[in-house]
Amino acid sequence: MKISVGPAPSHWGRNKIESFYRELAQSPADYVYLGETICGCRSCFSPDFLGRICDEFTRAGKEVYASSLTLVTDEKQYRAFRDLAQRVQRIEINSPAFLGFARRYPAVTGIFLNVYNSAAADILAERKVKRIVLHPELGFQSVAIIAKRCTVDTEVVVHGHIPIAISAACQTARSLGRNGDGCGELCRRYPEGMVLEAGDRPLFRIEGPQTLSAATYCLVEYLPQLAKAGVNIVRVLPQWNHTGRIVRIYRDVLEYRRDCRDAAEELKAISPTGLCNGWFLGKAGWIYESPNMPPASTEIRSRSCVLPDGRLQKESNRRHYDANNFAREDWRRNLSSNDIILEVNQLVEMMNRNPQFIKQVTEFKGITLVLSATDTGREFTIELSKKGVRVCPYTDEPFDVKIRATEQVLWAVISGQMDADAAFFAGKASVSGSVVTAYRLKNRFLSLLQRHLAHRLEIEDKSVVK
Amino acid sequence: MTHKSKIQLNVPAGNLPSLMAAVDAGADSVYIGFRSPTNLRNLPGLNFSVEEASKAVQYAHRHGIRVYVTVNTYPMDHQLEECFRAVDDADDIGADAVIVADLAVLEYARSRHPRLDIHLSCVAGAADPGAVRFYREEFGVSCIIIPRVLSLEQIAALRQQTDVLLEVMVFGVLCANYDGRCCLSSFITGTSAHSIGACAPAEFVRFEETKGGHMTLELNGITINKFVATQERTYPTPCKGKYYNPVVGRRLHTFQEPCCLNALPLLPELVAAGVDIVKIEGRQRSAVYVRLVTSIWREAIDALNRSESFDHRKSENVALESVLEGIASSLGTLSGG
Repeated sequence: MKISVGPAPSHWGRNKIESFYRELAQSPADYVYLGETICGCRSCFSPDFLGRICDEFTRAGKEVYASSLTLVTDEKQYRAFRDLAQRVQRIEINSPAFLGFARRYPAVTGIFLNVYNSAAADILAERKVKRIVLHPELGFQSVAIIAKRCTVDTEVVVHGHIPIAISAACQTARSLGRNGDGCGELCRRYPEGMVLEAGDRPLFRIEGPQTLSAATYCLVEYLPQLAKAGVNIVRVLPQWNHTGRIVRIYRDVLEYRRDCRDAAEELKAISPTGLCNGWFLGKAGWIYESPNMPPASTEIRSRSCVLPDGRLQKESNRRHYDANNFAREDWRRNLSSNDIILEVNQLVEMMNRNPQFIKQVTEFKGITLVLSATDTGREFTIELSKKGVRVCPYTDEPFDVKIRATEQVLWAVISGQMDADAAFFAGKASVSGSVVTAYRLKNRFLSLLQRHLAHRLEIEDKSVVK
Repeated sequence: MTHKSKIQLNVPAGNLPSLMAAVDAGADSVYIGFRSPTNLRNLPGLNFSVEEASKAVQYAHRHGIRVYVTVNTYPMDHQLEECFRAVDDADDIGADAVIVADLAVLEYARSRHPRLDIHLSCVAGAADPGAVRFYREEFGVSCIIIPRVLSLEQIAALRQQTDVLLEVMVFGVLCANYDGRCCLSSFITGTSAHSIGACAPAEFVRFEETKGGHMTLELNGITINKFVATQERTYPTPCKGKYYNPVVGRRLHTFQEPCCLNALPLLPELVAAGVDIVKIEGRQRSAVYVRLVTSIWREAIDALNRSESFDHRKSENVALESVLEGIASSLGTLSGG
């Protein structure tokens, strides 16, 4: 297996780039990628500069590729890469803008070309692409299938802050209260990006318009697996520090000079924001699990309440009957003509008489929806079962979903006068419980109800006309 | 290249009532998806069975409206068959086009279903003449849905270089990142939005109500946002989240303010730029949304076609804003800058 070093992902400035590539020329990397892939505003890679580095690497016996921008939006960017490709004669295509170039130069496609299956890889092979860099989002299973089935070489990212997203807008400038235009290359001040935390956990790392993992992705312990799967090249992403050292560690492991457990320890020690490898294992990207150690404590926290089929465990409706709620006996007596419970009840009783509706409702096997009116304090329950729909004034039973809003909003959403999402966005309605069930009720049950309602109104209209 | 034909309105439908609302309110075409992980709105309870989709096509065609079927995931090997079947089904039910992103699905549609038009999904990310040429020549796509990264000026420049139909997203959810290049949700949940077809899948979302009606939004156990009682809320997608940035010492909407795209004020400029189709986002929304948004855009397009003025600030047109996510509407990248 060969080792490649990806294009420098951040704005490091010319001096750092020079010293970085000088160090890299001495490293045991086989392939080197050069060029600005992230932001068209950055200026440290002039064609002359890149050409010179390219020559140095060639002399050092390394194969050099010119990497394209990921997002090409104007003719100038297109021409700049066309000229660079001409100079370097080998390319990494990161934007679909340059897919046609594969017929002219030996070409590799980068991760954001989104090759997710072996058939797509073969289609690129037919169009002269000779190697595919697989998206790190693809776990080992997909990597192994693609490597086995497709006719091109495969390259897998094994180390570094992995790319998660790229935007047309600059996150660094935004975070500093500036517009991306005329940014003065602010990102240069943060050569390792800015870490973003969610709930005290370092999660993302923003750098110009790209988002990377806060932690360092590290697959050193899985190198034997990758080699066995037939992956041809492993890619190390340039780090602000230690890139040459990292390449040597990977080389030593690949050549059986070093134990991968020991290598992982050393890599961990030089990764200040920790390691991650979840994507490779088919899990959330931020998770790190070592094959040699029990699963780390970073395991998903709140999943305990998610059932295997994806439903949330039912929450108990802890709000018991109180003075604000109507007792079951009082309930019917207290109804006024514009009472929402009466309206909903009439609506569902009418629907229940429609065998077509009952048939369609049976797909909701025993769902309990609680509607809670914030203005009157009343709650009532809609139960969906194979017998149809039932409305009752309150319940102590566990519920699947609870929606809170004023009576007016609740009725508007149910009867199809107000869009449920719009009510939510405006802060007029809140939802708790299982979000999956809430989506199903919104997308399916409400539309069923409204369709039958509309149908009935249509019939009534016609009978009025008669 | 000259374009004389009138601009068309392409409208989303997540179920039959929405499709009927779209047709009745004046859409020129409606786009739908099957109830499977083959399209990027694979949400619980949403979308069409093949039978329902067939009814949808019949209804729309009866009214002279075209139907496009989205098969725009990036399937992994084991999901390919299901995507191919979705393309087969789209042809069987008589849909007019499929909206595709993945190379294997493009090739399948091109070689097996010559009757179907192929529209390139925005998640393919074709934003420049080179990419457009590639997809046009290699797969015969007839329409490019432009990713939400270009300004009007750039769209007009693209128009000069191609005769393919250009479709622009003009209303609805605004993704913060370059279309098809965002794995924020996948990084947090471990579920690939590209191949499963759902960003922030419902089973990972949790709204936790705290004191005073405050609400915490968790995705896979990670808090990505907190809403104050009176504040507007957003979808539980990570790009709308608030993250603590130690450099600036604050929690920020790092990727995007909670806003939505509404390019209605730019309609004349879109027409002048040579855009062929304007697209409304929102298959996950209700028929109420579809009817409202379609009718206002229809009215605006008709007024423009008659060379009449259209006041997008008029009260009923401002109603458009009320169905949007977040605090304000935005022109996205269309306005440039």
